[in-house]
Amino acid sequence: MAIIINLDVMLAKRKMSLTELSEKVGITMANLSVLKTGKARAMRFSTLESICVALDCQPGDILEYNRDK
Amino acid sequence: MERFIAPLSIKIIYVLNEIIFWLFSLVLVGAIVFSVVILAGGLKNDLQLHAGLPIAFNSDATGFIMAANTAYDVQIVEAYGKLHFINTPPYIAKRFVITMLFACGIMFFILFTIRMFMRNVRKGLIFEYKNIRLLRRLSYILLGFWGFTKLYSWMMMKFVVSKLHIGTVEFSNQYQNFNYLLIISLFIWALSHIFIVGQKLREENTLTI
Repeated sequence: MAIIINLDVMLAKRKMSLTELSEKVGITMANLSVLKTGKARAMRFSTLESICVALDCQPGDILEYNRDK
Repeated sequence: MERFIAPLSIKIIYVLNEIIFWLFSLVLVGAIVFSVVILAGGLKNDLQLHAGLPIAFNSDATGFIMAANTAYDVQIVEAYGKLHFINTPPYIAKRFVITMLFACGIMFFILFTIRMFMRNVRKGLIFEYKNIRLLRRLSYILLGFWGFTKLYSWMMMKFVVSKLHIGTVEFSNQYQNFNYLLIISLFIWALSHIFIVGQKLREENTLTI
């Protein structure tokens, strides 16, 4: 898919683990892992908002469009 | 993930299917033992074979029915029944036994497939690819069974009824109708396609975070 999720990049920037993010946003590790590995088909606005709040970032920092993929 | 609690209807169907499946398994074992005895020539001419006769017959005999203190004349027409071979010769018995085994085998396969499907549904695994395969399989088996009933009727007509002479009974050319098997088969086939859509939607939902 042409949409890439840069969750691992943002986690590294904020020096936060996936477990910590999972606790903060209330999403299971399994679902966050699906998101991180790019297997997700869609993302709810509420999830995006929670992640943006937890990582103190913009949606554009997490989502990226790559025309070549 | 939330634990799936099967609704009462699913539980009832599951239990009924389990009972029917295990009872039919016993019947199948009995049929296999019986077939081995017949094919080995165990019963010789003593077998009192009752073979299903899917050809309609009319009886010449008339009777009456009592209704409102009045007797009305009636006659049995377009009836279906069974043919009783008194002291069946082994070569006829063997042919019917093979047919019976084939029919029992198909029935067992149908019940087994329904059992697998119901087990999955009871566990909450509904819109899964394995269920779609089971539904398709069930639809094809039912279609095959419908074909078998047509073939059996045709063979009974050609090889049995055409040579049958029973004084007061007259056979027609009308076969017993098993077309409901074809309708059920088509319905299950359509259901499998509905399940394909359901599986795609479930997958979309699961992968929406």
